[in-house]
Amino acid sequence: MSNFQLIALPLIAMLIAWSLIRLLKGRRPRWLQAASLATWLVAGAAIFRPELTSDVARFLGIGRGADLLSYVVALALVGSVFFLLNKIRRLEAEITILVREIALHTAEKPSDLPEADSPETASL
Amino acid sequence: MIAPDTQMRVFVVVPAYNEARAMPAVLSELEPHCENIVIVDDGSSDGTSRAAQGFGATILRHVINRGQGAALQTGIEYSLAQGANVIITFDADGQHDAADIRRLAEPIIRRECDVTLGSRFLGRAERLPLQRKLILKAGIIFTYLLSGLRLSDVHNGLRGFSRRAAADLKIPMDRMAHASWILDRVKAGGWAYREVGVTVRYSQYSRDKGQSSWNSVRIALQMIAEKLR
Repeated sequence: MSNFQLIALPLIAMLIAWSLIRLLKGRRPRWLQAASLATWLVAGAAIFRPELTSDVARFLGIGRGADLLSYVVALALVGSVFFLLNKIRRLEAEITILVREIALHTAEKPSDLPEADSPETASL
Repeated sequence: MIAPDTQMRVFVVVPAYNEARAMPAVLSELEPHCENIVIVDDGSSDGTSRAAQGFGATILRHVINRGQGAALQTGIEYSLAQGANVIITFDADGQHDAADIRRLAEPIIRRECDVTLGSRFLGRAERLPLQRKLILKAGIIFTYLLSGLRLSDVHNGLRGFSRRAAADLKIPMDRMAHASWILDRVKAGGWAYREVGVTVRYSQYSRDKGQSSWNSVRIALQMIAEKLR
């Protein structure tokens, strides 16, 4: 076993245990916890048996295991960017709702604003 | 049902961001034309709210800047809650003529349509810069390709909505892309609409406050992304 494996594998084992506990505890979103667990399992397998990545790369017609890892990392980064952008978009929408609620609750009305109970009789 | 001759409650919603300089003149012009004016101060840092006080307008304040689309939606929700039958949107930079409010509101009051869209090309565009004109013409073609709406003007902040249309609107685009989104919504919602000739006056102030050409490209990309969503 190489020095890298001696350092990385215990760390990966801890991360697998941590992800498994979070998944079993039913932390939401479940799919994210499952994806996290799967990622650490694959990373652990690739570090423990590096030739595995070469086997998979050959099976996919990519060639080298290192190339396969590069592609996977690139795809994961792109996916993460989209995931984060979507999350930011949702947060922005929530911030707008909050800001709007505050504005509606602190409306400064002029004293002469007509009453709202007879919308069909007021004028232009 | 409200009979066509019944006087209805018209609200004018004015989204404003750092418009303290223009606010007194805009409100002085609006006051004789409408008694229900809603200013939405979109997180301004120049005292826009203060400048709007004393004119008989309701002032809503966004504690932080959220964009014109968000400010419009806030003003629309407030107006609906106050019992508005017709809602007119009006820019705060002094480009619009308050006399056009009646022309936008009347077709809705007469129940001839749900939405009125101000058109500077059917009305008057004073001192319209050539570059702006070309961008607007490109926007007209873009809107036709994207929404199928054959219009003479786009991105005109002067519009009218019936209560029904305003309640259905729910603008999700906080920033400037809301203008294209609204047109898309008009088509998708099957709302009866009419273009109304209005006056748009360009001044050095409004040109400085206006959108950059690059922003138009951004809006177009945002709209395409929204369509693909």
